[in-house]
Formats: sequence, C-alpha cells, structure tokens
Amino acid sequence: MQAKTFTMADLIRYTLVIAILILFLFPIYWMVTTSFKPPPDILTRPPKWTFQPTLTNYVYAFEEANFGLFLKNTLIVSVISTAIVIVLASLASYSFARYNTGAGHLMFFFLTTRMMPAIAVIIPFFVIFKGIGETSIGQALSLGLDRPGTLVVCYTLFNLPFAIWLMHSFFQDIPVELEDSARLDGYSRLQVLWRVVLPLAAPGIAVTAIFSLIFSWNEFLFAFLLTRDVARTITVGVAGFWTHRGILWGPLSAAAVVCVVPMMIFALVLQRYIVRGLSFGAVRG
Amino acid sequence: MKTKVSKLVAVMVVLGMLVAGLAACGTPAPPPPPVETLAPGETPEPTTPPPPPPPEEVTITWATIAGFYTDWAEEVAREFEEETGWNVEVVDIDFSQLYEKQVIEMVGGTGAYDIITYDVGWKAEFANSGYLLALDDYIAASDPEEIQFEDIHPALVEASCNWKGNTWGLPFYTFTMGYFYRCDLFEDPGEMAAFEAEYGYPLDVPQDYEQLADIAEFFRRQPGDTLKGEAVTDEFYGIGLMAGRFPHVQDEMMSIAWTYDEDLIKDDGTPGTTEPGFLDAVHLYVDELLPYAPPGALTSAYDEVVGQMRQGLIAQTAAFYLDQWPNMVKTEDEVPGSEICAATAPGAHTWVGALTLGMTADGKHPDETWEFLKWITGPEAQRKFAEGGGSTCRVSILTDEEFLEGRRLAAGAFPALMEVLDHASECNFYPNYYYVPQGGKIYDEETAWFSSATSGEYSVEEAMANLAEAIERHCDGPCEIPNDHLGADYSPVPCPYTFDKSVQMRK
Amino acid sequence: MDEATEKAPGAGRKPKRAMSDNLYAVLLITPASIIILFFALFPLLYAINLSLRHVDLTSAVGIGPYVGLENFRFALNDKFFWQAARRTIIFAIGAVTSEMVLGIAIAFLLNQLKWFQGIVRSLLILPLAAAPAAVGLVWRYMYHPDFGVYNGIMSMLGLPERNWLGDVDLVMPSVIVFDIWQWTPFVALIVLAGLQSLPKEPFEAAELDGASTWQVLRRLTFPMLAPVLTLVFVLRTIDAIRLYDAIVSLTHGGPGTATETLTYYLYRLGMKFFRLDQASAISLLFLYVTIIFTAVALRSMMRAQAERARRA
Repeated sequence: MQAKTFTMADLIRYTLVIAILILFLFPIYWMVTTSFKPPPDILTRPPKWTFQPTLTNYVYAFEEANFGLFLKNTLIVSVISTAIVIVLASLASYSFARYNTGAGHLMFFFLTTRMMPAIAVIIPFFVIFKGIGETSIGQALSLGLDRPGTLVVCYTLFNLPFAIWLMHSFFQDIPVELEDSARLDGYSRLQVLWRVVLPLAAPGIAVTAIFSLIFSWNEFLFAFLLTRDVARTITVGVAGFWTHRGILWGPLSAAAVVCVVPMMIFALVLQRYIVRGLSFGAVRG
Repeated sequence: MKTKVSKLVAVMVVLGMLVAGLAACGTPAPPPPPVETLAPGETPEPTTPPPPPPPEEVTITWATIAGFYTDWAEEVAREFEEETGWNVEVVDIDFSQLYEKQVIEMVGGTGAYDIITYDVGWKAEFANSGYLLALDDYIAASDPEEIQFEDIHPALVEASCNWKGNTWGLPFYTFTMGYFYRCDLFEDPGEMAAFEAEYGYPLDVPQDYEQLADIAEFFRRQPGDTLKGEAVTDEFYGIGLMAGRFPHVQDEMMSIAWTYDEDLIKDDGTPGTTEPGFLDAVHLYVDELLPYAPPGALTSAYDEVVGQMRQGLIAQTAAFYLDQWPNMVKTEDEVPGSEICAATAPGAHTWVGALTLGMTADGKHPDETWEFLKWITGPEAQRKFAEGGGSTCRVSILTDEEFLEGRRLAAGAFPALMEVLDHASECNFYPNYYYVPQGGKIYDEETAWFSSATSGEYSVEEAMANLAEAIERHCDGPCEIPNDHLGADYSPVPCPYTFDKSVQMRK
Repeated sequence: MDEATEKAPGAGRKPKRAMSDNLYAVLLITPASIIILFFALFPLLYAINLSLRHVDLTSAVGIGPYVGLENFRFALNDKFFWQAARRTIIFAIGAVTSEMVLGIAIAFLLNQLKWFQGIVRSLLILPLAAAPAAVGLVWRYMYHPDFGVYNGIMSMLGLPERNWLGDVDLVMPSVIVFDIWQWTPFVALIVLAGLQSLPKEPFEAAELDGASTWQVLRRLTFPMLAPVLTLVFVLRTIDAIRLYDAIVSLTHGGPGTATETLTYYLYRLGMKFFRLDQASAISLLFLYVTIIFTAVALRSMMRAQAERARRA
C-alpha cells in the first residue's frame, strides 16, 4: 500500500468521527459516572460534572437490593441457554444447509415462531411452566415458575431460530468437497461433522454465541412475568428501585451499569463477528 | 426465488387456517383453574379453614410493594420467624407492576403468595373473583386483643376492608391524601398583605379549590420578583402536581371532582366523567393549577413533587399523600427558614384508602398466614411502623398524645390524617368505584386518560369522553355498585368542611 | 447437493448399518425441532384458541364460550387499537428513516477512514449491547426536565430547556432519538461491511472514465448496495414495530397515551385488563403482518447472499 498522507479532507472526516463518537458514547459515560456519584450530587440543577466518586450506590444495589442474586441468575441463564442453543442450532443448521431438510419451508417456519408478540404467548407459557414445575422431573431440572430452568428453556427457544439462520450461511460457505474427501477417507458422517465442519464453522459459532448471550442477558418481559424473586434477573431488578422515598437514581445507575457494561465489553471485543451476524450472514463482517 | 417465497407464504396461510380449524373443533388447551364466580347480589361464602398443616417447614410468602419501609417489613418478619419457627419470605414488587404480578399468580392458582397487598380500587375485583379468603371467621375466632379491630379507623375499614358484607383484608399502610404547604410563606406578613390586597380575602389554608388556584397563581414568581421580601433568583412555582402518567394523577384529580360532588361512576352505574361539574373540576386542574406548576409536573409522580418542595421550588401541593410527610418535612433542613405544614385538602373529600393485606384463596397455609397477618397489622407492629415514620391505620396510635409528643418529624401529619378519616366516616364518603368489581381495570384507564388531559394530548372533553367509554366497556354496560349498606345518603354528598388549624403540629 | 453415498470402504470406525441420508438429516434437526415445535406451536394454538373465544380471565367468565371471529371484528373496529397502530407506524417511519439516512452517511464516512477504523467500529457497537429496559431508565433520568443532563447541556449552550418526555409534541421524537442512538450503529456497520465487500473494478473503471462522485454513487454504489440496504431496512422495521422495553422504561406509554405503541397496548389488554381474547386476536393480526415482512426480508437476504456469492 502506498503511504497514507493526512489531508484536509481527513481532518474534516476525523472531526466528524470524533463528534459522532461523542454523541453515541456520551449516554454511556453519563450512566457510568452517575453510578459513582454520591446520591446528593445526582439530583442537582445544574448537573454536576465533577464529583467525589463513591461506591455507595453499588453497595446499596448489592446489599440492599439483592443484586448479587440477580446477576448470578442472569449469568447462569444466559450462559447455559447459549450453550444449548449452539449445540442444537449447529446440528439443525447443518442439516438444513447440507440436506435442505424441509426444502426451506421448515426453516422459514422456525424463523416465524419468534414473531408472535410476547403477550399472546405469555399465558400459555405460564400455564406450561406451572404444570411442569409441579412434576418431579420439572423440579429436578429446576423448571417451573420462578426457577432458572424456565428461563433457560425460554431463551433457548427464542434464540434457536435466529441461530439456525445464522449458522446456515456459515455452513453453506464450507465447501462440500472437504466433507466428501473426509468421507472418502472413511470417516462417518458424524465424525466429518465433528472434525471437519465444526472447526471451519467456528466463526459462525462465535457469532451465534454472541447474539444468544446478548439477547438472553438483555431480555426483560419473560423474565419479569415468569419469575418472582428467586430466579429474578438483572433487567427486572433494575426496575425495582422505586421506593417510598422516590426513585433511587444512584443505585439504579449502578444496577444499569452492572446490567449493561458486561455485554458492552463483550461486544467491543468481538465486534468483528457481530456485523456478519446482524445481517444474517448476508454481508461478510 | 420469488415463487418459492410466495409458496412459503401460501403454505403458512393454509397451515394457519388448518390449525385454526383444528383449534376451533379440537380439545382446548388446559385453561387456568376455574375462578369462583359470583352472581350479582350474592355474597361469597367464607371458606372454612383446612385441617392443620403437616409437620414440615412452613413458609409464608408475602407479596408487597418494593421499597416501602422494607426495613420495617424485614424486621417484623424476623421477629415473627423467631417466635413461631415458621419462615416468612417477603417478595418485593414495584407498585406499577404489583397488580398484574399478583393477579397472574392468583388467576393461575399457583398459590405462590400467601399474603397479597391490594389497593382500594382492586378490593372489589379481588374479592369478587374469589382470589381472597374472607377474614370474618378468622377474626371471630381470634383473640380480640390481638387484632383490636375497632382500633382501625372505620373509614379505612369501609374503604379498604369490607365488601358485600365480608372483611377481605386488614390495612397496614394508609396513603390517605391531605395537603402540604409552606406555612412560612403563608404566614409571612408581606405575602399575606399582598395576597389580601389582590384577592380580597386573607391568605390561609385554602378551604376550596378556587382558593387553592388563587394561591397557586399568587405564589408563581420569576427571577426579579421577591418572595418573603427577598429577591428571587430562580423560578418559583405556585403548586406542585403529579400530572404524569402514573397512578397518582387520578387521585389528585378525583379529589377535586369529589369536592364538586361529582364521582367517576354515578349512582346508576354509568360514567360520571362527562357531567358538567366533573368537567369543571378537570378544567380547574388543567387551566388554573397546571400553568403554575413546574414543567416537570407532566412527568411527575409523588417523589418529584417531594423533590420540588425540598428544593424550594413550590409553595404547596394539591391533594397529596399524607404518608409522604417524613420526606416532605426534610424541606426544613434544606430550604433555610422554611416550615412545612400538613392540612386537609380543600373540602377534605380526598382519596381515602390504604395498602391492605389479604390472604389468598389458594395459599397453602391459611392458619399460619393468618397469624402473620394479625401480627403485622396488629397494634405492636403498627406502633413500630409509626415510630419509623409509617402511616398507620390505627386510631389509638394516630391520636396518642404521648406518642405524638416530640415526634413531629415522623408523625406530624397524623392530626390532618385523622381529620380526613373522621370526615369520611361522618359524611359516609366512599366513592362508588371502590365497590365496582372492575375497579382495578378502571383505575388503570384513569391513569391514561387523566394524563392525556393534563398533557394536552386530548382536550379535557375528549379525554373524559374516552374515559367514559372505557368505563362502559369494562363494566359492559352500567357498573354494579354493591353499596346499599351505606344507606341512602352516601358519597360524595355535600358535606361541608372547614379545616381547623389548631390541630396542626407546628415546629 | 446430495452426493454423499452409502458407507465408504477403508479404515475408520463405521456404523454396522448405514443410515440413509434422509434419516440422518432428520435426526439432526430433531432436538431443535422438538423444542421449537412444542414451545412455539402449543402457545400459538393456545392463542388461536383464545382469540376465538370470549376470555376475560379475572371476571366470572374466565375462559368462556366460542364466539367465532368476534374478537377480530372487535380489534379492527377498536379505535384505540388503530391509534396504537398509527403511533407504532409513525414511530417506525421516523426511527427507521433517520437510522437509514444517518447510518448510511456514517458508513460512507467510516469507509474513508485511513486509520483506527477498527477501533471506531468497535466503539460504535456499544449502544447495541445495552438492554433497553435498563438503559432506558438512564435515559429517562437524562431527559428529566429539572435534573437531566440534556437540559443542563441545553442551558449551557444557551438553548431553551424542554420537557422532553412530558411535552406531548416532543415525547415521540425523544423516544425516536433514543432508538436512533441504539440502532444507527446497526445500520452503519452493516452498510459499511456491504460497502467494503463491493468489487473494486467497476469503481476503477468509472474513475478512468472520469465519472463524477455523484454519478458513481447513483449508478454504481447504490444499485450494488441495494440488496444490503433493503435487508437492513426490513430488519429494522420488523424490530421497530415491536418496540416495548424502551417505552416501559422511558414513558410508560405517556404522557396520556402519546407513546402507547401496539405492543404496549397489547400489554395493557393482556396484563392489566386480562382480556386475553382481544390480546390474542390482535397478536395474530400482528404476527400475520410480521410474517409478510419476514418473507420480504428473506427475499432481499437471499438476493444479497446471491450477490455476494456471484462476486466471490
């Protein structure tokens, strides 16, 4: 590549870029700084830009508002459902990609299952999980209302269709010849899948994992209606800071930071894979 | 590609119709357990207590409002646990979600909550739908000294406990509304002289809403004006209002309408929101109070108004929750020279009610639950509650001179509270919608439509017409109002009232 | 595509009896299918069932008798439904259009960055990762007319302070700004990737021919980007019409009903009024519309993939 010189046009471009970055990152900055502000400095007029940082908001959120439990629940539910999604979606997606199972109709149907507005399905879900929770199998597997297993199943269900579609394009990108030559070498189909295809589809798996994790982590409505206090997640917990003394904006910001920042760091590090996923694989990242 | 996708859509449509056909004819999905139904006019039968529980651990689950005196709730629960050996689990639910979170469990018959917390407007609905156990037998079988039922103010008993001849819950925290104002401003000689000069009558606690509006207008100051003889550097507003889309705007509004002898639902069950008197009340709020409130009023709930008072931004509230006194009175620390006084709102026909605790019908341990319910609403726990600043419902505590002595910061609003409650029971003042089984739904509609009137989304007339339509839709015709026991002369009847300042607890 | 044959000779463990390809393919999709079919089909049937009956869960009726298409008739005549639908469409148009325009502009800008492009892209992705239910509450604080930092900045700049979430005329734009903040990076990053995967030759040829920037854009860039742009537009629209978490945390549907979108109205119908019949009927109508959109998205996505395959 020839040497890149810094031109006037570049100056304008980078000024614009900096302005854009400030605009998009400012709310995050404000959220993080608010979480470290002592409560009296939060409801001031005009807003305070400098302050003495403190951890009281975080202490309150974790000790008074039980946020540690919510964080633990969210972690468990997100990670486990993501793991299950990856396994099931890989298998199904491979089948669709290689064998065109269902001639596209089945895949389309899978995708549309996510389109139903939540309210219409929440009552049947409530009924189902209430029923399961009363059986011994359900209790052993931690299924049932206000149990983490319920949300694991829900989020697996929600993420599967999108995951299948995502992995589909990755599998299609893998040349059939590689598999064929492995078969000729005597490997069984399962071995081919395990040894040849999946390693090559690793980027696809990464994308799927990212999206499943972020979606499960950020989900609100089902967590809100299907849990009470034992299995409550952080998105539901963030809304619980309205007390008889009013909304506690300090602890609320701390809670929001705990809820939002982990996924941001995650996305930051894996940004490269996300674009591919966002477009269902239609565009290479 | 085009044909393939159109084929897909076609397949979907056919599938959908097939499925719809199947669903229509086939076996329906398992419905939630049948809900007790009550024919109009029928009273529900109190259920008999089940046999004693098996000797395993008993856990009583109490669903309550998040963040409201949770320290007290936890402490009381621990004490009870120590004494009885049973577990108490307190489940916090944000008030805006309290209704649906509890209803979904009760409709689904999960038995997840043994005690639930209900607001006045939901009482009839919960009782009618069979979610609650009638407490009459439990009360009758218990030691009167433990409950001291007569100690609970009769106005609150009628408003939040009774329905169709049975008692459905015991109240623990009253939100009854009064009025807060900056008495230092009202008693400043300069301000008093200016007010009388302009309006022709002395500046004092307003006895009707027109006076309240005058005061709001009078105290609106801008930078350059003076207040209490000093120059004003920031905007000062004549009144703080809870005009946002929260379940408070309707309490403020209805307090005005009731003072005008109007009601949300008329005695014949039809909506009263389009009556000329009702519209006048709403117009007063929107045209004569709102212009003198801070712009933030349109997104305000009760905590914003408290915040405004504490920053020295407002001179008074409209009808306001007296339980907020401990927060309000902190203004005296934050605004130099200020004093907060509590009174009744003009006419004292304000929202009367409490957070009430009921026992769920599908709870698993009714006897143990009853013990706990007795305990939290009983005299001992309630006294602790009041000591911490909680608004108790027990007359003996509210009027206990010794208790009030030196407790102005926690209990300074109790005298005003007693005034409002006494006035309600003397005047038989119980709004019709407290008895309507669709009360919970109507309460939610009130929030949406009153807020649309305050924000200007709709004109007052349109918004109130929408509200009337919503009420009719929920009641499916005229609403049923089982309040014959009140006699002929009841809410809101002209029942004049003048507030006597001698009851106030001053600094 | 189907070239794999029966068992191959040679070393390696192999099953005693070879499975047919079809059976193998079906077995692979079985675990996923079971979950999806059970948990998606059953609620769908349940919802369809409820939509055809009179259901008022908290009243004496409970789950009542079949009433045919009464609920659908009701929904289509319900003025509050249409108002909610109207608000949802206004929101979608406002948000998606802004995001497309801004996103495309940012994509072009980023495409010309010589240094640090990766870092900028990484930073831009942050708003997307934030849970709307949580970060919406933070925005509500920032929009606060008295303590909010936005008004603080306005007054620092000498501009009038506004009641962002309380003024009926400003509230929907304020919600749209929140959505723009979250989703413009989505558009920008995808369009950027699309731009970067365009082949160089046509552009070099056009430069040699002396085409102006405008001509290049109009004749080359946008037509070649069309599949990606369509895809992004449809994906955003599908999501925009389902906006819920943000409304709950920012405005509760207020002031009045000014931001009561369709999903929020559905929530009130289902969870405040417990009229599951009406809620199910409206949900099914909503589902139907969304499926159409999804089919369109599918087409544009297939086309974009085909484009990429062709150019590869």
